[in-house]
Amino acid sequence: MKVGGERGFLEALVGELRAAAEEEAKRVIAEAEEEAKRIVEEARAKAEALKEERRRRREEELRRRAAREAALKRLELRRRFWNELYSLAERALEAALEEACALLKSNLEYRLMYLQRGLERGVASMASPSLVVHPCSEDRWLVERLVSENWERLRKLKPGLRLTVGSPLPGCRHGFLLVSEDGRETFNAALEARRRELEQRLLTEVFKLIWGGVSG
Amino acid sequence: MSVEPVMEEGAAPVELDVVFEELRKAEERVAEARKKAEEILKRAREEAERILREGEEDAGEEPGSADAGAELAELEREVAARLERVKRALEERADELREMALIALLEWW
Repeated sequence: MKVGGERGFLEALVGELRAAAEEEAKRVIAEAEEEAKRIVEEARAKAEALKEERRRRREEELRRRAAREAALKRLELRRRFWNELYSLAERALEAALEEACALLKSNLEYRLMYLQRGLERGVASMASPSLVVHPCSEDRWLVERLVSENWERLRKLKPGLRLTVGSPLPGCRHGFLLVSEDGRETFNAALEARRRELEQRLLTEVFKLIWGGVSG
Repeated sequence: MSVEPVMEEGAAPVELDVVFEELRKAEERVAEARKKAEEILKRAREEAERILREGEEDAGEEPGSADAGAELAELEREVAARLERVKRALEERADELREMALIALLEWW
């Protein structure tokens, strides 16, 4: 090999070596940058997926919690609704009975009707034939009159009936109390007692009226 | 200047030394690049860890309760409206109620 040719070869070799080293270095860096980019992107995607999953779970949990709370509140609302409805019905019935009692007390015909029907109902419902009727203070004369005027009619209801008018009751003003002579049976026809009884018994009718009034 | 290799016993010719030197430099360059690449990857992994950590720490928003609240408010309004209708119905039918109460008393219901 000639000197000039050798030098040229060596220089070319050195140049090749430099270029190859440079190329390899660039390739290594480029690959690393590519890999680094992939790692970061993968992490971002994973973080996003984790975030999304946690958000979904949290939403689900919140929805469940909200549904539980809503169910409890709905129940509470329903309870309140029925309580208030009952209370409204009760108040309306109390007022109606109050007015009806006032009407009855102020009308002689009504008073007679109340006492006569009550007496018939009491006599028919009691087993004992020997009864004593204790009138309330303001209805004493009416009861005495009814017993004498309806004696035959009452006897037809209970053959062998013995009915006497007893002492008036101090604790009530209208109505009467029918008691068997042996004291075992009683039939309470005092107006106040009837009123209290009807406050319970008529509630169903009031509810029927309410549904008729609010339906549609 | 001569380029003739100076042959010494046990030593490479001078020109070959230049080549070997260049080879050493090339290896160094590549090793440096690998080190840099390692550094790049290390930073990337750290960045990835940070991203994942931040992702985990992110509490996010709290959706989902407004709808139930709106539904309940609607239900509450409905209950109030129904009670109001009942109240009105009872007021409108007060006469009927009184009549019913009187009949119940007189007829011994």
